[in-house]
Amino acid sequence: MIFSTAKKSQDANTIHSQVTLSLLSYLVLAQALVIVPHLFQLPLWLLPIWLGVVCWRWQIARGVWPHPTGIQKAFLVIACSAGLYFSFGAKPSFDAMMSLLILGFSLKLCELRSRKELLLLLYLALFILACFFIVQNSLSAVLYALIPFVFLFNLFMQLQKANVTRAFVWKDIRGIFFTVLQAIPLLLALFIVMPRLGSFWAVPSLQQAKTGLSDFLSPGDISELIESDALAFRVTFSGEIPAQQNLYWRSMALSFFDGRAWRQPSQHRTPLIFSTEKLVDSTVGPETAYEVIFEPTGQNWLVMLMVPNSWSDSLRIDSRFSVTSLDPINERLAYKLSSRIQARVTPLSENERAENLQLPAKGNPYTREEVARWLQIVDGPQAFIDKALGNFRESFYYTLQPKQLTSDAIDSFLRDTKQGYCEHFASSFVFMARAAGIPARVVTGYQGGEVHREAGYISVRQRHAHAWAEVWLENKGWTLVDPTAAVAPERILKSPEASLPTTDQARIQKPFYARIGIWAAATQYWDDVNYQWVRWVMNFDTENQDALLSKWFGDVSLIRLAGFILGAGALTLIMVYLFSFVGAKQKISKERFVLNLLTKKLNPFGLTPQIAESPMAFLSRVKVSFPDSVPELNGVSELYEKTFYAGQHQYLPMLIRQIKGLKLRKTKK
Amino acid sequence: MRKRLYQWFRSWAASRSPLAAHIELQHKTIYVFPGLQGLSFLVLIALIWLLGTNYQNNNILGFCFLLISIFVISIVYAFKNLLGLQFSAGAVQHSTLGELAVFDVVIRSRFSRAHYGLYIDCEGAPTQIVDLPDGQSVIVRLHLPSTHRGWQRLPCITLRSYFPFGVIRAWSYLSLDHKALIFPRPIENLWLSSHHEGSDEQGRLLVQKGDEFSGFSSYQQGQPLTQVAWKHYARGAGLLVKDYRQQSTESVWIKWDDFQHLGTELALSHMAYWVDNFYQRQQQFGVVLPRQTIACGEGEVHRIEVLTALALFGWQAP
Repeated sequence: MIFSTAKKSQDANTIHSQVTLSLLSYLVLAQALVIVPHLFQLPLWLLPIWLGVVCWRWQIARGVWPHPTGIQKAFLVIACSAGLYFSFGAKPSFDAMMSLLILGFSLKLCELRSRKELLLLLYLALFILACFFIVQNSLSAVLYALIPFVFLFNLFMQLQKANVTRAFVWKDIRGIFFTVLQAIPLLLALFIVMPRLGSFWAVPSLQQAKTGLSDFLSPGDISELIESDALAFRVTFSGEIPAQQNLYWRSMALSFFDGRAWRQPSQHRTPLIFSTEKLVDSTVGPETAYEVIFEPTGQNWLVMLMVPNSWSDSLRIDSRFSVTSLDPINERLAYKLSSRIQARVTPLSENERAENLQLPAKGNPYTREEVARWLQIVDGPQAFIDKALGNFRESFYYTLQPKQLTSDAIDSFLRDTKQGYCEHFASSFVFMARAAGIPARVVTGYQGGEVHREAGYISVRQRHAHAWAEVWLENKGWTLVDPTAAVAPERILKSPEASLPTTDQARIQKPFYARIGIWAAATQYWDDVNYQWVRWVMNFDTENQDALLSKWFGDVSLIRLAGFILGAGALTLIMVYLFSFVGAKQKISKERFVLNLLTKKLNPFGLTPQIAESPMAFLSRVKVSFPDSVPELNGVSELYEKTFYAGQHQYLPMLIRQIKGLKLRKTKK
Repeated sequence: MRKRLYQWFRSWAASRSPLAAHIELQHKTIYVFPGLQGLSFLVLIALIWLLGTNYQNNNILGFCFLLISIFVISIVYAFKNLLGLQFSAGAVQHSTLGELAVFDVVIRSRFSRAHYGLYIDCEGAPTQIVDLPDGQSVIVRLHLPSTHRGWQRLPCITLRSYFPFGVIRAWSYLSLDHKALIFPRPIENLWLSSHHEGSDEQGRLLVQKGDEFSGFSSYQQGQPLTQVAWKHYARGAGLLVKDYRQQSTESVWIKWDDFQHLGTELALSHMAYWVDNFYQRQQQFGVVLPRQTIACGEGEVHRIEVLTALALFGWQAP
């Protein structure tokens, strides 16, 4: 056994005042783990400031530089405040708040002297770690946050020790990891039961540039999106997943053409629709119910399948069937809808007819002439549409790198280049239809999606962005026409890449490892897990909570909920206690067990084993005090020798029995 | 009111942990409650909850609930950090009245696991913090002001720890049956030893001024005036001469009867002074007490034996 004598300690509060290099390097690492994920979206100058402070503190710890003086600190604070002002202005924003927190967190390191200040630093770190979830709330972010979390709690633990020699103790790190695991049952109970209150006050929200559709369509917009693999939204269907060619995720109708770009008409407000009953013809197919989880875009528009039948209150659907949310989507948004895919919207008011026949007074003369020529050949709108699509099919091809168009873009596309992608086809098709007197409009949104059949959902990425057309036909109402499908049917039936020439496929950024089978499978699996996480954890709201609680408890009363939480807490405590106790009992060595037994037996006689005294030495001391009991004691020591020194462990039960049955006779002196 | 409540708690706690030479901390003697840092931790939890609620972010709320769960779990760990600790009185130490009394407390664990950050508070002694590594033992030496001659008891020790995360305070009161021996405080004095063996009729005053001289003798005509102890003359002790004779190898008896007239405590202090004096001069000496006589001897062991006899002379627990 090794023995150490307690050092005479200083004042309890300044024990850890000396921040050793080992402790400091650990602290800097923990700080880096907390700060770095935030730095990606904050001003760049925060990084050199933090690094500077780290260097400074390092020199202090080495005893080279002194602690900063009051003036130096004041200068730093003023400089940083000025920096914040130049970066963000006076308006409070989320990023400004985060920058301020991180600056304080960095600068605090510099004046770190005592244990109390270290504690403040740790608390700040935990708070900043919590803020990380506002920016990033995927499952990977949660798993990442676990690393700094364990690091910080290890520091909490090391601070409680009398001697902090090393900050990184693998055993303790492991212990904290187990503690986190043990915390899960109570965590879940709290998560499920604790009421979700709404915001108490308006909080500055994130302003991030996100990829996604915009509310107008000009050449080149969608090709940028098609190169992005970012997730746009995910959908879970309550029934069968519809066929790919039916998955037209409609976002907005663009009915105003200015000669170059298609926009939503801004002259007058479009009335919101509250019920589609009057708009839809009565011979409709089955209803499809689905839930969309939409990734944040910073904009208002959402997606749905035509024709919506019923939808969540948070959606706004106007008479053009453009779907938006009330507020910009800064966090993931979940909403429910049900649609009738086979239904058609029939009525068309005079205003609407005018709106959907609008064309600029001049421009694109070739197209107008061509349309006039066709109108003499074909008979009726349907025939005109077939003719236009046939024309596309015959002599056009689909590419993401079309040639440059001249100022009369549609003329140039139809006559000269004859190559393009969805927006070119949709745009020119609608132009031709309008020129032919058929009400038509451009529609943007997404087409298709990756089907995760086992997990029962589809994920739609930015590269599924698409533009198509809607024409209004007598007897049929608004009808979807996708001119791209005429040119590149694979685009619709398979995936956007499948329809592209190989040179274009290279442009779609997919890292080389994405082509390896195992990697692809792993990515798919991870996607599924992430989806379930978002669906069940991130979007667990008051509605889900109420449903789950009434399922579990029937009548939800405060007393029952409080009882549930208390019960979960008590159960956790008992489990942790029993677990730790069982672990501790197993760890006790046989020698220590025998010594404990002896101590218990001899304690009433005022005999305890001294420090550094082996059981054998202790026994011989006992023999001196109890000369009359020497034979029995000799038996015990003989057995002890056999068991532990000769390694004959079969004698252990006998030894234990002997010690327990030991009767000492007090001799009279 | 608070004070009374605390006192009631202490007396209740004391009744649960009786005085013993060997104490093992068990369920009924360990108390747990959130410490000051625990309260600040709860404030942090509240802030994170506000953040999560305001942003309606389930991840942040989950993070907040994780902190709460860890707070709850650390109750068990804080408790476990003290459970199974064994305290026993170490060897009895001695010191002199006026110096610090020394108490050695041996700490070991029933289990072969580590215990960390054990704060040991004892009234009058500075707080000590020790770690108890795996399966090892530690001796904590407590220094307390000595209060009286004889046996001094170790007051109640408060043991506390904030391990693992500092949020929960676990503590226990230890009434360890432990004592330290306090020797009488030596008081410098003049002693006219009429029983000094081999002394002349007038006797000799023995005064310590350093090892090099052995004492004083009466002034004889013709001795150099530089050797006269003028200080003592001024005090009215008569004309004395510093004696630089060879050290005496004869044995001296320090007798109770010579000091009895001073009263018990003062007499013992005066005697203790001469014990140390002779010990330092490596002179053989013996002590005669009313019911005890310690034969002449020298050296550390003899000194301790004699001082112990003096310390415990007529001793009664205060």
